[in-house]
Amino acid sequence: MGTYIVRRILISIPVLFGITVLAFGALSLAPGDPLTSRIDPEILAQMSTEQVEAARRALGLDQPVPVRYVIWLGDVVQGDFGYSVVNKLPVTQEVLVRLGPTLILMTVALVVGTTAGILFGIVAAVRQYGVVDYLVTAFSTSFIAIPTFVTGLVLIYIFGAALKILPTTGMITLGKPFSLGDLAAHMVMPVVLLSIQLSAPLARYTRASMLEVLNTEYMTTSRSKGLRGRIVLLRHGFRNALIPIITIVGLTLPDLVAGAVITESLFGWPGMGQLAVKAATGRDAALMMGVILVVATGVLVSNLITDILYGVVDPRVRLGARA
Amino acid sequence: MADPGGTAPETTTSGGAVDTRQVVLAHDTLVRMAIRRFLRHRLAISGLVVLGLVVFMAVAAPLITAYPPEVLDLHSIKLPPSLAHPFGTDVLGYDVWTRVAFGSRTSLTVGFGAVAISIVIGTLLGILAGVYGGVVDQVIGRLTDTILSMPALLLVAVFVSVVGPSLQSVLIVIALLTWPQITRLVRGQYLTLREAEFVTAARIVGVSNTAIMLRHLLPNIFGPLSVAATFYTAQAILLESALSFLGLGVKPPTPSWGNMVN
Repeated sequence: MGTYIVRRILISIPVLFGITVLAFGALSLAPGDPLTSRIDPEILAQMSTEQVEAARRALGLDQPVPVRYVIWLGDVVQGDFGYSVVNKLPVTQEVLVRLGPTLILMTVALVVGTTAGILFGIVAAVRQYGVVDYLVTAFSTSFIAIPTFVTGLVLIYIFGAALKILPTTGMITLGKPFSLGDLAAHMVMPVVLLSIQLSAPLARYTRASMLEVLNTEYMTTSRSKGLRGRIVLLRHGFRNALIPIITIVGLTLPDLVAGAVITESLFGWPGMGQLAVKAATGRDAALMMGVILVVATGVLVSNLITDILYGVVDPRVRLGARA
Repeated sequence: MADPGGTAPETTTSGGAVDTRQVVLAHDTLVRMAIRRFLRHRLAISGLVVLGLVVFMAVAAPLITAYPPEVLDLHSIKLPPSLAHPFGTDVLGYDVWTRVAFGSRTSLTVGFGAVAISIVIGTLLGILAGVYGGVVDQVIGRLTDTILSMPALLLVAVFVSVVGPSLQSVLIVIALLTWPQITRLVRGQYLTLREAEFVTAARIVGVSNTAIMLRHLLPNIFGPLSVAATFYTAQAILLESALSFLGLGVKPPTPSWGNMVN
């Protein structure tokens, strides 16, 4: 198991480098002088040629792209992500402030979404072609087809604008002392939205995976041994169905991050997703790189957790030669 | 028809029945068989009807709308649905029905365009990786891994922020980030097909490597490829609307379903 984990970590390091090279290369291709997007045009117009050159050197913009990448990488290793050009704040500070809210949102949504998806999937599979099965299929297919932001706007319209029972923006009510209830109320809609996005495909995959397992001979065997239905279903059936389900959850995590970008913009949630949109609209390269690096690390770490979970669920992975 | 105590004459008649069926089959072309199977499938038909309506809306947009899509009328803002404005008007005085109809052009252009480009790139690289293996496969494989491990929306946002948001840039950027999934599929198909007997047979006859690749292997991956293409078209349309919604995609006044919702 140990070597298995180490190998997985070693595989993900070049991928992380690849992402930063790709993003850095793309961002440095931006047309025009990067300096103009970094300095107030009015101030730039008043600067002398020498001052412009000095500013360019100070920002390291006179170097070729590969050199600039190495400089950036060296700084990042030392914890310096540079300055957000739009806000004049260190990127590290900007990112750290945003990390907490995103992690809270994603963790809760991940727990709610996977639980709901798996539960609905199992019920649909056990009651195949029943009313519940058709309902689950209808809802999950619709939510896969409807864009996240449309569902989100409908939620806001119903619960925020028409019924007025849930707050629609932000994480807490401004000007009110912090309370857990207030935070929870603000979280309901973003979490529901993200969970729907996660559980809709998951329910379909769980259903398919369970149906496959339900028809195997060891299920018939354990039932004919006289084991109780629920034990057969959960301990013999679900455990085997779980392996493809873990794969799907792992694969949809990048989608969940993307969904968080939309959800956070929609609900004004002060997280990484909103920061990414701000960086992209403001053409803020340093901030964009910071966001990309953090998100990439997050995705790779969760891939690693997925791989470890395989080993936990499936002894063949843990003990097998292919580990 | 299957009689356990079947006698000789009966066998001949059933044999004759099979013969007539084969005659009927011979008259049917592959395409006609496919069409007949499709028509029997109720879900497929309803899908075709919906898609047909959207395509019709996109093609006939100027004929079925009464206003130019990019001209706003400040005298009629936020009107409720009426005969003159079937879907009402928005805060800027755009006729919503007109924008919806013309917005379908944006969605379909990005969806089909991006997937067409990514299929060309993806198939080409997939073939190269699957056929040559070795270093070529490694390089292409790592590149696909890298792109696929990132949320597409975020990478698209990076590239679009560089080239500036527009219909063309969104289309090209989505294409440049979708090809790895196609490459993976094609590569996998080539790896399995490479060992197939008809490939060995073609090689024995003396068919060149390129001809085997293009004439013997490529038609065999059309099935999975077309399934993937429909799936990624849907994905590209959703991605475009999400980007336009965030203000990183198609910019007003060009109508897009995404920027209309914003």
